[in-house]
Amino acid sequence: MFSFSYEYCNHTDYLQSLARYAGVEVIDNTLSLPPSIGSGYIKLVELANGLQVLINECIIYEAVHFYRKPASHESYTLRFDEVKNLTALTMQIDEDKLNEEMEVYSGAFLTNSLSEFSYTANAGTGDRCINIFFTAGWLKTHAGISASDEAFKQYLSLKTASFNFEVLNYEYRALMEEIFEIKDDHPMQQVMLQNRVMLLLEKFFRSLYSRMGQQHNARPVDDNAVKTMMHVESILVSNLSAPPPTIPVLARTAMMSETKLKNLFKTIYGLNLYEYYQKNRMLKARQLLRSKKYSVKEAGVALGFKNLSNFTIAYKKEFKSLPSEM
Amino acid sequence: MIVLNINHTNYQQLLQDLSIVLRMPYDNTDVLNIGEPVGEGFLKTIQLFDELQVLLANVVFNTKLVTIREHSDDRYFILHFDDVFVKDTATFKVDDEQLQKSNTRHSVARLTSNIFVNTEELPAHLHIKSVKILFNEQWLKKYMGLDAEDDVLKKYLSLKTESFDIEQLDAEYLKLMDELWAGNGDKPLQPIYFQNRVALLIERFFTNLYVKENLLQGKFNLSSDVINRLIKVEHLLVNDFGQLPPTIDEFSKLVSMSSTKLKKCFKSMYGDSIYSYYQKQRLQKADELLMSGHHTVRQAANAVGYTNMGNFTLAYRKRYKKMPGNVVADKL
Repeated sequence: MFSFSYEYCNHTDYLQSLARYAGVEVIDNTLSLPPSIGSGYIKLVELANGLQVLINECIIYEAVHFYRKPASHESYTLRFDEVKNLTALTMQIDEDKLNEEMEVYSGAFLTNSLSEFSYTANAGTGDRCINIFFTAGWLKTHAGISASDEAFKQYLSLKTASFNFEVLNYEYRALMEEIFEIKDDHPMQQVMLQNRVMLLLEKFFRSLYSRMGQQHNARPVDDNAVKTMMHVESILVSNLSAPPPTIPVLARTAMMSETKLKNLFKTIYGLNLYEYYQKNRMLKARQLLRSKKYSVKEAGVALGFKNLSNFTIAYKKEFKSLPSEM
Repeated sequence: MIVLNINHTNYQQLLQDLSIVLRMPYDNTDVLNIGEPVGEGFLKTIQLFDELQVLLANVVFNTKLVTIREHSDDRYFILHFDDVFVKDTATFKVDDEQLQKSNTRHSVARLTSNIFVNTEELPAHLHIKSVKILFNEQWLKKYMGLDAEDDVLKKYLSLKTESFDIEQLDAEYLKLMDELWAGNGDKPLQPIYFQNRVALLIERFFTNLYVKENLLQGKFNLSSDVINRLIKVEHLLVNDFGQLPPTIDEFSKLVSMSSTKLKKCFKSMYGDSIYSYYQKQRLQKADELLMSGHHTVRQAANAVGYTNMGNFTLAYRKRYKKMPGNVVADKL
């Protein structure tokens, strides 16, 4: 087992101590995992506005256990994860424990440095993560958000229960995708990264405020249901060039009735199953066209459109402009 | 005529100056409301966290407005996003260079710097929708990693008024601008909301600037003589929609350029082929007439050179996804 414990600190120190523990060096702010541990990298970026961001895409061959000791100064970590190949995931904040058998986890959560935090995952998990470090002072002066806001405090007091609050939907995913695709040699690279990180932050807090605001009257969705929906979502968007799995098939996978599946999905992801699939597809189309490596026709075909005018119509409906205008 | 000389970089101060010149009451430091007899609408400033200043305007003045941004020593830049339908003639000057726009939609993003004197003359009764973002050299360095002396920037700025049509506002720009107008209701997230939209406008402008750097160079290589000839062509093309425009052959004789060269240069300068530019402009004009509520569909169609209503409706619907008749009905 790869077991690492550390004291809460900023990302620079964290990356250094992780590198020491793994017996490698940080080069150009990047830690490349040694083959004995896994593959992939963890990269630190310090943005012009003062944010520290860790970006990682790795697969770890052994089971992992991370343990974070609390710090005396208050600061925050907001992370967006897409974890695959899971069999079991355990997370703990202070005495609150979340123990899950799940295959995918894609969610966002915020923790503060005063809490103890740990997580354990099985061998072979693949994680793509954007991890943002900031202080209360930064949040106030750069985002106008006060850490003493009721919604903010309420959220942190929920501890592990708050994990389930924010599942990554297509908007988060699209932003993360864009971050991972920024080319290192692009002259606007830093700006593009900063803007997307800020959009992730905005989106997270918008959602947090709205959830905390309406909490008492909204019917809470239980942990299991959220977990199942994450699984359904991952199947739904796993192959955008093939027709989506039918609702009866998905219902069987989720072991619930079609009606329940449809309602739950809509509650959690805000769109119905087909709309969600289609939205992801269109975002993917835009991404392909943006890359300039695909013609309109190729992008349409890559996303499983047999009829190109259907593709154009769908695209136009989504973005109010034609794919050829990209 | 209102004349405003600006020699500072503070948008709150600008609103105050304007309120004095216009004799409009000004009690909120961030918003200047414009009412009769001066005009209609508002101007609003937003101060963002990283020392960016933003000015939003959605306003009509009843008199001609001339603003002169004077030359000064501390270097700063303004990124303008203007969406204006120019009825008479608007004039933009950068030092001694002048660009005039008549009866056209001026819907562009452009960057100016105070290394030059910038003058704008906007005729009366113009509906001005614009977002202006002001920043200095230090900001540019810190956030964009760009030196004021950087090649791409120098090249762009040295084009002076010629650079003003390089970057047309497309649906994505307009969407971001609309989001700024709309604001968003929830108080705690208002600042980050504005911050992010402004940042995306800036990102888009500069990203496109890099993409167009080669084009910029190509265009810069066009002699100013060729550019002047292209401007002449554009003028003739959109000057009077009531008459059929000259054909490409006629144009090519008129400006003594081969038709192949003319077509190629026109497209690189205006981003559209001659015909598609003409078509876009006249439908925009028709849209403007319909939106004004003073014209029937037939009048609007005739004004932009359509004699066949069916063709007009078809073309209009293709571009705006709505029926011209419905636009008129909504206005009644």
